[in-house]
Amino acid sequence: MALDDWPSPSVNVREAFNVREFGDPHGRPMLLAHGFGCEQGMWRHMVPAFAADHRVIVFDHMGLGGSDPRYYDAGDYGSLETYARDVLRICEELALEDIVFVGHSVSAMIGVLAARREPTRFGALVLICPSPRYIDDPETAYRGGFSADDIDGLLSTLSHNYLGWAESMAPVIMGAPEGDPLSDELAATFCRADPEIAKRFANATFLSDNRDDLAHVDVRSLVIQTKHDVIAPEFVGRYVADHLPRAELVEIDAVGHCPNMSAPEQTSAAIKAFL
Amino acid sequence: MGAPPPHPGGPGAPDPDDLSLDEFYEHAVCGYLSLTADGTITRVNETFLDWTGHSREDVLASTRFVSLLTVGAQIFYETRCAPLLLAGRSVDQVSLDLRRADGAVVPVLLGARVHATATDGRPSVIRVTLVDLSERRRFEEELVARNLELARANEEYDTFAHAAAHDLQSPLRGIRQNTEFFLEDVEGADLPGDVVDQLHTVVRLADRMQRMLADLLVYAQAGRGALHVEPVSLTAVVGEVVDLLGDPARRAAPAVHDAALSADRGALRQVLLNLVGNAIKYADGPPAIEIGACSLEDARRVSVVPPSLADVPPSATVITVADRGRGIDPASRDRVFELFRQVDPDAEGSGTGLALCRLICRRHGGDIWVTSELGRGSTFFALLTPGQG
Repeated sequence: MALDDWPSPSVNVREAFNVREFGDPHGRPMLLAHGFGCEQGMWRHMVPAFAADHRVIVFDHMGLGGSDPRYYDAGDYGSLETYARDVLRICEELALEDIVFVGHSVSAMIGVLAARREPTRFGALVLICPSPRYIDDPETAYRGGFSADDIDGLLSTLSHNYLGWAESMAPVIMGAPEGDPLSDELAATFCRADPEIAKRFANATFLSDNRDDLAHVDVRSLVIQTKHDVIAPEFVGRYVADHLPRAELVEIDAVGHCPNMSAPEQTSAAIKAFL
Repeated sequence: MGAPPPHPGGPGAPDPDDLSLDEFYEHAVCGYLSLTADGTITRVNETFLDWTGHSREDVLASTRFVSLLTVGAQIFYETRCAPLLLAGRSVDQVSLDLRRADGAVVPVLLGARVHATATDGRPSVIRVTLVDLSERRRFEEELVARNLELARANEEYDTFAHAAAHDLQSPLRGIRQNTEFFLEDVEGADLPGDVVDQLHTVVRLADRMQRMLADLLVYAQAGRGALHVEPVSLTAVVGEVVDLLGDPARRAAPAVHDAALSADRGALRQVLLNLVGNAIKYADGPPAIEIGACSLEDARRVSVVPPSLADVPPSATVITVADRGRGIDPASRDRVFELFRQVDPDAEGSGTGLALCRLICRRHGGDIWVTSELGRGSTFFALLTPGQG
């Protein structure tokens, strides 16, 4: 069953996308969208930073984490547009307005697509390690950092790790930090995914080209760039900030592609300063 | 711990099996690395340096582990392994490609553990173990290629069997018809008796071949098309089977112990049609047929379950069809499910019935097997949906 076939009154969007809310129900809504390979648990260190004055909402993309896979339709999820449509459905169901949308990795572009479709809903976009196109495009002298062969290499790595996605991971070694609202989400199923779904999401992500969408997003935006991000290098973050009409770029003192996990304080501070 | 055993060199000589921890670490069979939370390498062993050709100085000069991977593997590591490790998870049996200093690629199996955590709960030391996979990977890739080839060959075989069974029917009809015309034409003519007998044999054999081809077509079709698994009642399906088999089945009046199960209704009907049909055909006197269901665990107590079902949960439903017929000779028990393998040479039929049952059960992910005693009857066990308990 595809999402479009849902008779709208009976759709339980909250269950379908494993939507969870924290913080002040009357605060400004902040929607946190996880990236490829993960799930909402990756926001665990950042939720507390905004819970005091925001209505913080996390969810899992369809087919991943705790979403309801019955609503996954392989035919639909071949493009990021479908993921953007899902984001808008969640916004509609929860009656969110003036949203601060925080998207990590591929979800940054999913947010861009959603904001292009319904600009009035969004008050601000925070794009963590975004890339509008991963593969270089020599014709337009665009550098995304990857060749088509590199992406083939990723897909082949994915197929060599077919089992790794589904297997249950070992229990948490470290104790959950104080006030961690998502710690129960980090049970044995953290980032478990159907390998076929992961592969299709990888295709939709790494073969996407959303450069043309950037110019149409009339929403205040923040691009958060880290050091040594092999997925979204500095020149890509710069490109995104230059091509979004109302964007600023901030480089934070963090290394790698997941500052929301490795440097949540710096990431939260950058967002707070922007807001 | 007692004193170490004397080593071959005798006391005083250097120990060839040096058990110092340094030696263990540096020259282990696996590559060892220690990383900070952001993946910067802080320690590496000799084995890793040997494999990759990187110098210790280069690797320890604030190099991130991910930069030593091929680009495809880098994306996988950063989007998959790094978040897991940052969440305090272990990463096990991840297959990745390392880039050697000379550019060559080494496939490795990676395992990683968060060894120490900072006060905020985030990892401070991550230990990585790498095992050389070169040979394994080649083997794996060959296996995958062969599997693809096999799947293609199977598909071709299916199409071939279907086309052959279908296309052979029309010339056969021609042979039969022309033989009959000839028999009509020569009726009353003075022909040697054995010529007429032989012509009748041609017609009879053509009839038999036609039945075989029709059954073969059913068999070939059973391998095609999608299964529609739905909840079904055993009693209802047996009712349909009795209707299809007609009077002999109504007289046999099989006893049914009802059970609810999930299966493709048409496929289940086909299996029961053959099993009940056989029970009637091979009855010794009036047939006594009992149809029921039990758990795989119960079936294990009374029969030898095929090894293909080793991983099926013990609660899975098995359908049983028991008769008090002639039974099957132990020597032919394993062969009854083979195609065109008719145990009783005098029996009517083409020898596709039980092969079809097996094909259907296996397509569902299950299997079929039998226990039997000559002169006392047989019990067939059919498992269609392994996931169903």
